Amino acid sequence: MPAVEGWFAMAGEPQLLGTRCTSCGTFFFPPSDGFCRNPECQGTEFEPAPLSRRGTVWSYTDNRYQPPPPYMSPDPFEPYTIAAVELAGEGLVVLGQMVAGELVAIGDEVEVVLDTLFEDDSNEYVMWKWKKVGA
Amino acid sequence: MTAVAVAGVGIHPFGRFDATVTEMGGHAVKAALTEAGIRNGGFQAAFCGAAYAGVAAGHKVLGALGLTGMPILDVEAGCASGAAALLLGAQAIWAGQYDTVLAYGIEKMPKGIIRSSFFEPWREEAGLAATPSYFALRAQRLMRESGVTKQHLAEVVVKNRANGAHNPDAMFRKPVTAEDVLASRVVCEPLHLWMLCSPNEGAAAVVLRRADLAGPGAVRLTGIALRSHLPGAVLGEATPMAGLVDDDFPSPTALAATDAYEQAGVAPADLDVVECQDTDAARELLSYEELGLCPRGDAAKLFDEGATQMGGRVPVNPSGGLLSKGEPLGASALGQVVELVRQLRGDAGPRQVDGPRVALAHVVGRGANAAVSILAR
Ligand SMILES: [Zn+2]
Repeated sequence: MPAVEGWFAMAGEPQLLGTRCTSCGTFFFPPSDGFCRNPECQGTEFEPAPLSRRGTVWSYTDNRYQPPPPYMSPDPFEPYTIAAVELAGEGLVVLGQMVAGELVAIGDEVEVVLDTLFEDDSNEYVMWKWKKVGA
Repeated sequence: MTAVAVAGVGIHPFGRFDATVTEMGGHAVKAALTEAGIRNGGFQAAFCGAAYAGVAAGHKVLGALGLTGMPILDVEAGCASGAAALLLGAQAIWAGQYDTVLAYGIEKMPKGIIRSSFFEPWREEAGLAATPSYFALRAQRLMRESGVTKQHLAEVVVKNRANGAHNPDAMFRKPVTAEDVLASRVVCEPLHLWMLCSPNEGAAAVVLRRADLAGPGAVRLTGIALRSHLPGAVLGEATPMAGLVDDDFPSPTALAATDAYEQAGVAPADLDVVECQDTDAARELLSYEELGLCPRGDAAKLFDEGATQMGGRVPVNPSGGLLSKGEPLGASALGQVVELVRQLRGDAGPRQVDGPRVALAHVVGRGANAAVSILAR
């Protein structure tokens, strides 16, 4: 089941589900409601906006220490890489973990996948992650 | 508009102590008031910066000293909390409301990686909220844009720890080599453990007074500005998860610096000494560019020229910086001001910069608050 409900497609191709302001067209992720964050815009209506599946790495790092709870750490803790990815179509940068074991560099092309974030006794919780295109 | 002078400064060393945050605050406040030669009734308002010290923490400090009755404002602005307190104090004097005010900052940080209520729980659960990794994302960009290498990052630590060896108020007073720094474990690429400052404890206090009531030689606070990030800035200091891509956005630090230079009527070339936010080694180098000490993209070049070393054109972090002192959030900005006032007075002992006349202090942090203060004699 999704670790966060409604932010990514659980059926079909993996895809982040953002929103778009119906007044000014600005994309938001995580999905926005309430007030448009474009300061020039008075919009309060948003439409669902599936986002580009691919993007390029704007920056990245690897977490080699265990973040404190509530981070849902595997036991034992495994270092993981995070990437800030500039989406191909929207001009947004979206942060996410890389799939395990992948090295990455600024400018690399990556695509969104769904992968296990953590498991408990009854469920596997999935989250979006980034994966190198062609890897 | 009347000018604002610094009538007294005081500091409780930064480190780890058995003392309560209230006791440390009292120590710094007493020292500043003593230096200013005033007792209760001698200041008309108090502004206390703190982020983790709890409700009315500044009130408790003055309560423990028997110095209450005046307005006491507790101020929180992340890593810029102490600067926010100083800003409010200066503005009150500029507005003509008070002659003398107390600005102080206190903190006793939890140990280890700092959790912050700034982040949504889902982001922490997903492992996307830890502070050092945001520093690392920014550091990776700087390495790409400005010719900064891991060796530069290590050498910044070497510089600041060498300076800090002469600062009795610093937490770490042992010089280190670049080999030592690079041998410390990687926390998140490219940052090794020793390239990151330690959250810790301490307090600092500054008494501000109308310049015409202070002595003729008093150091003046000639500019102070605090700015937040512009909407849509990537990472910035706000560390949003998603933002518009545009590296041309002025950062909060650049915005605050522009305002402070204008107020003070000085340019970056006029600076003789700087204390800047070296939460991590890359953050110091980025500040060179954002504060205008060098053109965009030239941070590594400026460092390689030795300009920011002791004896260079504009020594940066003669106190040892946060890399030596550690970072008690509410106190760190005022700790910088204490250092620069001592530098400008010529009272900095073995870490004295040669004859400085204009000095700049810079902090930046959570909530994308950046503050720049300019002091002169
Ligand atoms: Zn809009």
